[in-house]
Amino acid sequence: MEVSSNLKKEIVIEICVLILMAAVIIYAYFVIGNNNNSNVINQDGFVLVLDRNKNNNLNILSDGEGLESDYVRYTITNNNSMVKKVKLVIIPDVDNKKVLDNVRIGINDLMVNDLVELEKTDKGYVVDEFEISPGFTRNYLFKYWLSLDTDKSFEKEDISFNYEIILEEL
Amino acid sequence: MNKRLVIILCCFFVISIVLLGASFSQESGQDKVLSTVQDVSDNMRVIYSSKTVNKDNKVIDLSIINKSSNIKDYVILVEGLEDYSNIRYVIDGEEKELSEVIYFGTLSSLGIDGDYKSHNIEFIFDTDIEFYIVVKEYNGELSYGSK
Repeated sequence: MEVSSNLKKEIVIEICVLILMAAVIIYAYFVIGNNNNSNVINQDGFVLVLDRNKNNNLNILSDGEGLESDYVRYTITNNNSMVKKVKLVIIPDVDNKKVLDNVRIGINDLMVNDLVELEKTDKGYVVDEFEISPGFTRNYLFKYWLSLDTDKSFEKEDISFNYEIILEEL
Repeated sequence: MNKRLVIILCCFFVISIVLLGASFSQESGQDKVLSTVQDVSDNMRVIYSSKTVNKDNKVIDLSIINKSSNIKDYVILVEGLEDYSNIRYVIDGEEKELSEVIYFGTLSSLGIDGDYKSHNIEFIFDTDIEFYIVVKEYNGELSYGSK
């Protein structure tokens, strides 16, 4: 049976479209799949993505060791149509004050502080205050550990560091 | 075109749009910050806010981590500058005249208090110049400049 050239053309187009659609679906599947460990929050025109560590236990470390440990990536994207001024605030969920007083935080490997020495707000501690243009993203790498001064008896316990990071618009 | 095929293609199209929308909602925006620069060797990791100093970028933050189990000395050097006159700098609050060597320091072995040091360096000059900052392990010899 002879196939007309028009039909051949249609079949080729249909196959190309199918391949394209399949590629798009596979791409989207992998992009979403890779973000499984992320907490994605849409808040007031911002997209906030926190790639959490699988292990959020705190260990007693020197600052050098702490900065060589695994990081948590936090990404803020301004999807508003105007420049926004915001505060990035970390709210620790730690019952034991002795533990909280010894938490060290490394920010982008360039700043190391006692968490409780950061500027305090009603809700938590200010990690950064900045302006962000529309369509722009800021990335943060956070690392947490317990200072070397921490009571060594804590070493035997699994100290989990739970926290929330929020944006406060100024 | 076959009616059934049109329906299938429409379904694919709708699914693709939904999935792409979901993925882009997590990725939208341009990557702007976290423009740090790193030098990593077996013994040290150095993180710079930037290595380049010019009229638009006169402040450098840097972190130095000793990755080894031995005490390490380090030196902060200026590169790419021939005339050091009329340039001053403030390191950790102390103002000095600029020379090839900005600072000597020592790091404890990894795991000991003092295995990490950070510095804030602000350069003071009025001319349109550009030079670079580099941190090197110091073993008693400096390998900079021309002989």
